[in-house]
Amino acid sequence: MMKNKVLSPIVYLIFGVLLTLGPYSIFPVCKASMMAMRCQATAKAELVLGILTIAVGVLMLLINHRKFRIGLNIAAIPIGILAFLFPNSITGVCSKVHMTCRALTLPVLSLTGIALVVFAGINTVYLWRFESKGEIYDGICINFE
Amino acid sequence: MMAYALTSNRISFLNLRKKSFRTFALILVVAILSFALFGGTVLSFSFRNGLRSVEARLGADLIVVPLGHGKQQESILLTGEPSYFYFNKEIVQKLQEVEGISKLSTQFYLISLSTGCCSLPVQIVGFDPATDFSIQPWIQETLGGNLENGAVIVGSDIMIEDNKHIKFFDKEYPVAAKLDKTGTGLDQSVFATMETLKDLYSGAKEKGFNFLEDTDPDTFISSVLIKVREGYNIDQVITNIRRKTDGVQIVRTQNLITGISKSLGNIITFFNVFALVLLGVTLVILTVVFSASANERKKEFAIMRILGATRKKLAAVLIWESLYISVSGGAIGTILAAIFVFPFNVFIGDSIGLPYIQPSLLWIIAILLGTLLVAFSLGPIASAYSAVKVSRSQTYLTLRDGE
Repeated sequence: MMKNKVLSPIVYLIFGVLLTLGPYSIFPVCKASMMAMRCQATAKAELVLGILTIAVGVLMLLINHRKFRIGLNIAAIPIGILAFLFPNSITGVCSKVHMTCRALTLPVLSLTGIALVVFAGINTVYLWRFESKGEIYDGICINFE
Repeated sequence: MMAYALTSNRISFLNLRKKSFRTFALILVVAILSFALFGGTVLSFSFRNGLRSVEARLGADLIVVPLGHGKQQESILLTGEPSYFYFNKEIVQKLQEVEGISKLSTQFYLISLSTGCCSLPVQIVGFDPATDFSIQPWIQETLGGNLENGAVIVGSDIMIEDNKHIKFFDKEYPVAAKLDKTGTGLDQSVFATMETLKDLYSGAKEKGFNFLEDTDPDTFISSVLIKVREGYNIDQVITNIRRKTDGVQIVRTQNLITGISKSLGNIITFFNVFALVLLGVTLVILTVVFSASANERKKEFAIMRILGATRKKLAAVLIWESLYISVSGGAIGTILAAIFVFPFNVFIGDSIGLPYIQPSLLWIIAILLGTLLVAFSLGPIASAYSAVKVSRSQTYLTLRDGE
């Protein structure tokens, strides 16, 4: 449980930073031009989702209450789904196959979204099962079975 | 507390769980190998397919372009980087007099801003249906007939919103067909007959899109595609062309193919050597670790024998351990490679700069099965010696060892 308390916020922070800064740095969308570009809108949406993911990570780091932590994990699931849907269907990316936003940003964001949903799901189940087995006191699990 | 039967399989699992760091390290080694094997094989197959496609699609032996535009012509063909350049049509008459030319056809290039989204231009290639021998056979494969005036054909990488029309310079053109993927720059081009191109050209002019001064498709062309007559040496024909013309550059398509083939050869050689070394290193690591582990657990195995375990069971414990490691590592490695290779195929192809066509599903399944077979069999092969040694050891002597 102690490991989870530290590790899962770190993972959420990594996801958050990837979603926030990735489309502007590591896997950039197309450069802004006079023409309105879909990938620019996607990058903005991902920035918001990234900030929300960072918020989930920070709250998980600060708050010990397990039910609240489960709630935060559940909240991360729609964030991941949206992180996947924005580049794939809601706002989309540019239509040319060889543009960086389609060749690089789209797959990275899709994989990040899927990974976020999977991680949040596993973490929720883990905390849920842990809760049903015992209670937490100062980060130590007491199993009453 | 649940009770479990102490099968060889369960003992192996518990052993691996107890030594979690060692297990993780061994799984990682096998995962790296299967990642490299699966990813590398899919990549090399994709590049080979790309090369084959270039060989099949570059119908002309020579392409004559204005002087100084040879590289741009190569970029249009290989990477799809759009450009336009023109010279006077009079060159065709001079070329018709050159000895050793079997067929020649002209093309006219335009570039356009895609109006739907994104500012990257699209290459538009206008061809003469009466003389063309390079694009039409390829179009006929997809369309089943010739391209009509007023319609266009698009390369496989051109995305069309409703799949029926494409807009250039504020005018909609019906899309007759989408061509199969070639892995070349032609995938990013749009093809039209010269008549359609003239319409596109005037549309561009009306929109204030000026190409080069005083150029129009009636008197200017961008390139002349040449098929050398059978029995003639290509170098001799190039010399003949040079004698008759000036201010032109001749692109030899065979040189493009040779260039790609050379780069591809280097990549594939590197991959083969890398994969072999990795395979050897993985086998050595697994053999050494299993041997050391079996040696370290000699007394444990002797006690198991005293408790009633057969020699076969001791060997099975080691084999199961190695199988768990191989299967997990193999599966993780191939999954990661698939996550890397398939979604990022366009990015990989663009970064390496070689024509890239992914193998068919059947080939991918064959490569996957091959990789899993190698990865899954590595562990049992590496632990076979230790398993035999453990099963043959004398229990009494092993237990008294060191006294």
